[in-house]
Amino acid sequence: LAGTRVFAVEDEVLILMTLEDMLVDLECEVAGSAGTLDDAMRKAAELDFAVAILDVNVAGKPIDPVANLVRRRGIPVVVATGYQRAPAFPEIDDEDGVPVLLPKPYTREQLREALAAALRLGRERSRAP
Amino acid sequence: MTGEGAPDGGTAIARSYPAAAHLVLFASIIALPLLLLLGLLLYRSIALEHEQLQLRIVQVLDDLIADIDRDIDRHLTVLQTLATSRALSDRDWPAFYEQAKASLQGKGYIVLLDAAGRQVVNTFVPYGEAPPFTGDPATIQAMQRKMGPVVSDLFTSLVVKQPVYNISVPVFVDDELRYVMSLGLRPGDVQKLLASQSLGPNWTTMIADGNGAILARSRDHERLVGTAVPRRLRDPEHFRQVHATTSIDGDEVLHSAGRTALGAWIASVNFPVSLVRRQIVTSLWLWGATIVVVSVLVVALAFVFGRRLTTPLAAATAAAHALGRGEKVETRRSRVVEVNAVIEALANAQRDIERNSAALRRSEQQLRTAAEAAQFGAHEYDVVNGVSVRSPQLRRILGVDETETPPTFEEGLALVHPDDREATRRRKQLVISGAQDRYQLEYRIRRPDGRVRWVMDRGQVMRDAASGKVVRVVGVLLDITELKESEQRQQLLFDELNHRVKNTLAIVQSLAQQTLRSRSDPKEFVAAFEERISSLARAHDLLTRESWTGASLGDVVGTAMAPFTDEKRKILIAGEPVIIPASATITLSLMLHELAANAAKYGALATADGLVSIEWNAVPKGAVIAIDLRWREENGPIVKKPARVGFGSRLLAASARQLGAELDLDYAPDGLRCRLRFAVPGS
Repeated sequence: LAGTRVFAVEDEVLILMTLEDMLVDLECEVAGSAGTLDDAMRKAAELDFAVAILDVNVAGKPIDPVANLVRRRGIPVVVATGYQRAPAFPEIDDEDGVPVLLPKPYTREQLREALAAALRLGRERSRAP
Repeated sequence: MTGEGAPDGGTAIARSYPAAAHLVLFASIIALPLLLLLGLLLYRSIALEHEQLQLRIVQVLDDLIADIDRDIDRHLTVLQTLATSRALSDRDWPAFYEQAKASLQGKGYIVLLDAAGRQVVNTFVPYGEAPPFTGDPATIQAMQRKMGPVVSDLFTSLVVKQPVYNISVPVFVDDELRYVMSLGLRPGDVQKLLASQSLGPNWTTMIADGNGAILARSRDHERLVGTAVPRRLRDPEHFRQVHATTSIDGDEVLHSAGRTALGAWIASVNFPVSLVRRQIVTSLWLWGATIVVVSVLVVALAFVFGRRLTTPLAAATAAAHALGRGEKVETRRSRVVEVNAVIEALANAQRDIERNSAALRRSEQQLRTAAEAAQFGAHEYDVVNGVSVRSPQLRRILGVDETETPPTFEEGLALVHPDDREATRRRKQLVISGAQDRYQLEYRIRRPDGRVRWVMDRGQVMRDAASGKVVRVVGVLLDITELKESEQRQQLLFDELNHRVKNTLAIVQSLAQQTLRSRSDPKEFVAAFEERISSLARAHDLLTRESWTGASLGDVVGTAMAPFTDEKRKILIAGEPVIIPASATITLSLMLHELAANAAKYGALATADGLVSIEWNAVPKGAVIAIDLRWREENGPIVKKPARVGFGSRLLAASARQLGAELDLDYAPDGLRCRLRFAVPGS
């Protein structure tokens, strides 16, 4: 995971800070972070990153548009959620099944596994025709 | 009294008749013997009268004969008195002439003949002028034979020159017939005698002499006197008998004849048969009229009484019909006790039926009302015919036409949502086949209008008592869409709650980790961590109080600063009222807490004279409100910029980014200053 560029979206400041700390601990590079949907949309389109960790909803709004945008760029997505069920991402679901889920609250190990799984899935998808 | 035989099952019931016919029969059975008895009595009466008439005829005849005999006797007495006169025995004829004439008192005349038939005295003519011989020689011959009184037949007198008859007695001298003394009389005297019988106009009496010549007749005497009487009217074989024959007048008569005592005279009596016939005819008419009257009376009374029976019976029949049709039974009283009993029984039956059916209707209504209130739609599937019957409520739930034809099994399934159809079909087929007695299903339906609804369908089978085969499946269906939606809402709510709890736990986790980075001493860590947790909790309290819709900035600042407020510390809070959205409230609370905690440890709140002022402006700018919040510390210790970036600074920076705010942090030596400019949505 070392050097992996990660884009993080989280509306809770403390969680975002901790997430950034964890990513630094995992030797990942924080490509950028966003706390609002508008900011996230903009950065998701512009930034260069290998994987995105997205909070399932940002300030009460579903993360779907950001997730779909990232997915269209062919970048794997980890969805951090407090919900028990997976959120519905029609575009992603149609193609490749559910995204990688990261249940809140999570430990650094869980984050690492989720990122690893997402990257593996991303590689498999890019190899597929 | 239907006028028809029993249509079925009736075996020995013959034809039936109206009540009046029965009454006619009844009255006839009573009246017929009476009529026959009446006829018999009339016949007897006629016979008796006939018998009495015959007796009367004979009686009249006898009376007539007796009267004539008495008359002749009287004449004979006169003659015998004269026969003993001295003048006669002295042959003093002139004296005898006078004597005889005087004894006659003007009635008839005396002729005295000698034995040779010579006239000696004839009082009809003056003395001495008597004709020489008698005109009635037959009397002398008869006298010589009989030697007693003789009554002659009719003959024409020589002196009178008219038909007369003689009553004669012999006059003996020394036992030798010397003279014949005759009293000459005209038939008119006999006729007077007949007339004196006073028998009434219908009777006819007649006297004929020994030759059958009519001497006198009560009717048409003048015309018929002297004419011959037919043999049949003077047949001695029938004397004193009554028989029907034809009279001289040619009339049908009852006739009787008899001989008088003196002489050969024949008296006869006629009574017209026509009168007898008329009597019979009258009796027959009377009898016939009685029969007719009685018959009419029988029939009329039968109808009158029949009506008295049939009218109430018709009322009873109408009452029975009314009962059958469920109409009101009229309890009008009739004059027939039994019919009243029937009608009363019918009325009672109706009351009972009404009471029972009212109770039934009531319970049915209650059931229906309960079903309507529960909004249950009922259905019943007829397994044999393969069709369902649906209640109106069910049709409303399914959104189908009120006037649909009973749907088949497949038509019913067509309303089930395609996703649930196969599962529903399998379960229902299990029930219909008898493998399951009860079912409870929840599935979606797609109504003809396209709306999808959730329904609960529960029911059970009904089996044929004998064969045990499933004949019907009855069930109820309830629209549970709202229940389902509510369930889903609740599930969403639980999910949301779960999410928030998890999120909060994640925040707490972060707080712990971040606190641990700067406070490695456990005591310090616990103190700082507890403060931060408390601050977070208070912010949550504030939001909860406002139902997570947001909070006023004054409250947010007040709540954040509350733990640091005591009598010695000077904290100034001033600003315009403005509402902060829920998402920004926690962040802002955490920022204020870090600033206050820092001030309490290193800044203005750490000294007695220190002052912290928190002021803000809120200016509407288009759709948003621009907030300019200023934190300023005075009279605290000299401020030095920290050597490394601590948690507080990181939090402030990250939070500002989160809020989209412009953050100016100035570590001025006389007091920390912090300016935060951000926008919130306008109200």
